Amino acid sequence: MLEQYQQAIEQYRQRVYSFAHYSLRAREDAEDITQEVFIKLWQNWQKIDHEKLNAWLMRVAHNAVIDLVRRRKNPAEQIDDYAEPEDQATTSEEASAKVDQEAFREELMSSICALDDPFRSIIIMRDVQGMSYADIQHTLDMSESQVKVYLHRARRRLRESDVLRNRFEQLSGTANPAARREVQMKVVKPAAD
Amino acid sequence: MSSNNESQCYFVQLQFDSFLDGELTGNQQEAFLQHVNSCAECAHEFRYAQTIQDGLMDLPLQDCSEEALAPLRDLAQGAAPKNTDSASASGSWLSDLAQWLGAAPMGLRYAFPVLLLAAIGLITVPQFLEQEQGTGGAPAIAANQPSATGTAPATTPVQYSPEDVAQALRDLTTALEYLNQAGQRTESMVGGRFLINPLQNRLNASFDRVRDNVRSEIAGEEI
Repeated sequence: MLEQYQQAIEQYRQRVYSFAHYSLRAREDAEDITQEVFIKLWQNWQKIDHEKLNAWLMRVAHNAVIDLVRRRKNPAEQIDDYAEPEDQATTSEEASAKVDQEAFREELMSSICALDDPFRSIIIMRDVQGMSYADIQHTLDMSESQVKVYLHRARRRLRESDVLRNRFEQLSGTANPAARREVQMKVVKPAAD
Repeated sequence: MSSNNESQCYFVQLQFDSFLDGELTGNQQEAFLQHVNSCAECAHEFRYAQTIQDGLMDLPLQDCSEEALAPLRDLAQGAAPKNTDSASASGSWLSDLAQWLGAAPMGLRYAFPVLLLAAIGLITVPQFLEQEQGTGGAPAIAANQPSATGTAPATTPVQYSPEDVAQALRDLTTALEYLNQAGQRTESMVGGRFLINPLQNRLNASFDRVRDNVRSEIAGEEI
């Protein structure tokens, strides 16, 4: 069991930590959650269906993230270990048309973190971590169609982010606010959900 | 922009995710690409969606520091986690013992309670036997004491000095003498009452006198 447990840590540590870190954007919180997840794995080793270990771990991680977010409803208690988006946007605008890919990545991660659950969790699991729909279903206890609907909405919410839109316009060098507003209206208009 | 193109743009932009996920059929893909290549606004929006999607997929898997994983390795090797906020992880020693037993091989898992019971027995049984032996091995003088119930007294026996024994023997002698004197008296039922011997002797003497008188009177008459 000890060897299998250590193998499980090595196999899933990145996935669990990444999920927590992209959800919270705080290294220490992500490490605490990773510890908590693998301690629970140890405590429940005998009870777990090891065929679905990935889904079990991600479910525990997901619940731990939600608990932490609930405990820290006061924004002053949150710890941010990443650069301030506004400062970066201003600096980029003043610097040049050449967009820093790293800055775009930071904006993207911040936008992911700003999403509500389950949009945030689903987009991390599916698009960042490449989990299968089946594993996401088991993790979040949803049907496949529900997962797809939430994923679609999560992507659309990301695309509605003004910060990401501005960063993309700078990146492509084709800033056209009028056209942008028109297209945005088209995207938002349907309200299919 | 005509309303026809507008509706086409609307439906094409709804298909962005399906196209990026490869869920469109061949014909749908062809129609999609045809519109995107001919519509600058949809092409721009599609590049934006694709950029975000590529950015999401390019986000690296991040790794936890070894320092954060150290308590987990300690846990796996049988030691308690050193630094964790989890309440369940900092459970009592009983839960730690249960975890350790749960992780132990089957033989050891059952052998441990048996050994624990044997150890408790080895400690407690000799003490119990010693106590039992102490109550059964009391001095003879105490064992010979009469008991109302016939069972051994629960309290520890009283130790008597030789003086106490001599006094008890003197008291016993006095009691026996009294019983001998009392035994010399006999009781007689006279007129519904028990009478002791001295009184009976006097009564007998009276009867004797009466009897003698009666005999003398009879003799006198005969004369």
